[in-house]
Amino acid sequence: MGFSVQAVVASIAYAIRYLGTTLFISVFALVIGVIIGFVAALARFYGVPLLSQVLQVLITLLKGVPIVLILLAMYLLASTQFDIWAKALHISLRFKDFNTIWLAVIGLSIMAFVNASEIFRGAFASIGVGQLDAAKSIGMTNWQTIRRVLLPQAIPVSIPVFGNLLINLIKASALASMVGVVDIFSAATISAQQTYTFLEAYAGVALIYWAVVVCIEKGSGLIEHRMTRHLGRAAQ
Amino acid sequence: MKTHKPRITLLALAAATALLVAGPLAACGSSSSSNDDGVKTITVATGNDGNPFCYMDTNGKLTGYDVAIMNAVGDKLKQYYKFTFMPSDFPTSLTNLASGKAQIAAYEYEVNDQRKAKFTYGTVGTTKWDTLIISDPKNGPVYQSFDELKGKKVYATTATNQAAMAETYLKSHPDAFKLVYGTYTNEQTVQAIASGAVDATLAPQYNLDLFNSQLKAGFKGSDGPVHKSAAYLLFQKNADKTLMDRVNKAMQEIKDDGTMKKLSVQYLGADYVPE
Amino acid sequence: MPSFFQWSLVWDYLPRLIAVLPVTLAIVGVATIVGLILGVFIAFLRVEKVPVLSQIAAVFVSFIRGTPILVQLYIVYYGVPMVVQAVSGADISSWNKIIFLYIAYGLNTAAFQSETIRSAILSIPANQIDASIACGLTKPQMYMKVILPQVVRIAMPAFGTTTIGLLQDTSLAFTIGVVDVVGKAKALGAANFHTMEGYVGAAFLFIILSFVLERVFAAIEHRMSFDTRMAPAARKSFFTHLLWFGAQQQKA
Repeated sequence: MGFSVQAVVASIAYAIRYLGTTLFISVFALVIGVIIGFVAALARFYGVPLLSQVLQVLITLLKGVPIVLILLAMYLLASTQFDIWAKALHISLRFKDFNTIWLAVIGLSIMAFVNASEIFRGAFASIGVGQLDAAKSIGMTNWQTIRRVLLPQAIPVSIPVFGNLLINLIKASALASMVGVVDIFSAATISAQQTYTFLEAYAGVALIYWAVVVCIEKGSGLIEHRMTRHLGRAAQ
Repeated sequence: MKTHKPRITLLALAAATALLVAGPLAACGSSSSSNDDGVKTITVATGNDGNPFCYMDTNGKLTGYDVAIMNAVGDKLKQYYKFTFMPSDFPTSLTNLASGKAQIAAYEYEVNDQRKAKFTYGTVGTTKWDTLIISDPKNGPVYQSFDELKGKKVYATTATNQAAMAETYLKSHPDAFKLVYGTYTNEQTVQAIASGAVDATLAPQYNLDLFNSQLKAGFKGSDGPVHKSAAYLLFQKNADKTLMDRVNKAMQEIKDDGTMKKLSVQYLGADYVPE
Repeated sequence: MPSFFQWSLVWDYLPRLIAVLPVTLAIVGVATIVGLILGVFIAFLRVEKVPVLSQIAAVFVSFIRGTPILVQLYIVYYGVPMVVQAVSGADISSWNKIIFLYIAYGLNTAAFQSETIRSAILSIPANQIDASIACGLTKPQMYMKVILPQVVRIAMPAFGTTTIGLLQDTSLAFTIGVVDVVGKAKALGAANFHTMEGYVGAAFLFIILSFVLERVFAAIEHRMSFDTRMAPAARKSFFTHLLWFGAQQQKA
């Protein structure tokens, strides 16, 4: 068979215009997920009554729910319920004018939240309760302990894993086509539908993803390096 | 040196992916095998969620119009060939054919010149793909032509015949309508139209019937088609000539003796066999 | 307005989904084992900066991380038979499709696990390594007694998430025609024009499975987190820590 390099180039040229959409969805979802995930992990680390149990159940449930189901359910719910709620709340926005990219952002945020909270939980676990006792004994408040003890240790440990998460989100954002958003993956598919050169389109879009991921790897490597310097220095 | 590194990495990436993907396919051939009594096993690439054409029923059995047609063709040719099916999603069915994992592909492929350069089409059409504009009369007029759709939002599923057709139309009429792409399920498509998120979609009659019967949509189609087309089987570009001739001949036979029409009524609800 | 969701269909679908659960479990199981073994090996190569191999490993990890698994599956599914045929002349293209899935998901998991393990190793402060050397531990001893127990503990939550996530990621199997749980949900949706119920049924199974897996991982995590259960005094210095660990080992 002929593998058309020309078709690969054409699919890249077409799909790359939608890179902004892919990045918008995944970065937005990462930010939301990390913030909520951090708070959730903290609540579980300190064993906040009720909240930590609720979170544990919620996270266990959400881990099992396929993102495909979340997106599908959100779309069907939004298309039937959005206008009713909007009317009740006197919001003039209607579903037909609502940009469904936000459904994709919310869907991926849920995925990011579940992952981020587990990442932070792992990072906190690596710190050990002894340090908390130590912080308390020298009279640090909870907030000071979080800021001066937990965060400086948890973040460097988590950076590469967050790199992983962002990469996963970028790839998962290909599901955005389920709610009618064109990202780089569906753009590549569109570029191939006239010619049936889907294989070439996949190869082309893989190159875009790879280039983006290499950039993220380099970036997270740099941050990781800067943040773990003090761990190395301590040994000297 | 340091400033050059990213560019080299990217180039290496480009070369590596191209090689990894293209390499295996450059050396592909036909993998049909024959057993002692001279009956060759032919693999037919088809779909696995393309209801009503090729899909798995609730018991996991492959069924649908395209599958039934290939079984009928297989019956005619049973002294030469035994057909087995290789189900996959739509794009993969084409790669299965191109890579030699399958010798025939049956999943509602429409003809155009670019595709003809890549594959050989069967000579007998299986299905009419006369596309209608489908809309919800509760939300506005029943659109009859692309002109009436000016400025409206029209939904199309990526990689479908309708999407390809709409893109072709938009190329010559750049500001006719706004194409909304997605990979909606049937429920979502119905919801998108009913809620007014899109004004219309493009689909053949059988699809409209399905929306109305299965999902109680109450939609209407344009009186006439906005695009006429038909779907065919696909063979590899350099396919076995004898196989092609025999399959094409058998297809003509099941069309002439009314088998195809019967199957169309059975699976698609009406006679959609092209003239 | 048609109803997009009927509980009765979920119950109707469930037995059919359970019937294909072994397919999903087999893919997850094989991918996790292959991924763990290969992942530890890759992480070791990269942390120890073994010449040539660590560079190859880095490109491999970058490729797997950087490209959609669909593309990787295509390369394995179409590429491996070609390579095997070219090398040994054997035609394996008619092998059971699930073998190609094992390979593809195994390699994919290995790349991701290797990153988790690598970052866990790197998170261990360098002074512990100095301390191990000062204690006269050999390198294998250091890995087995100092690094590994901590790595397992740090990486365990992420490892658990990855494994549970894999349950759903096997859905691409359906792309090449292997029917796993998500694939079955999709097929049922296509056959009945009721998609939600299939996915809800799948979610049911996954929630139960991830709950079970989570318990298992939590138990392992608990066993591993020896130092957080120690009296604070025992954490006084790293050396007492090591001594304590050594004593535990001798007792065992």
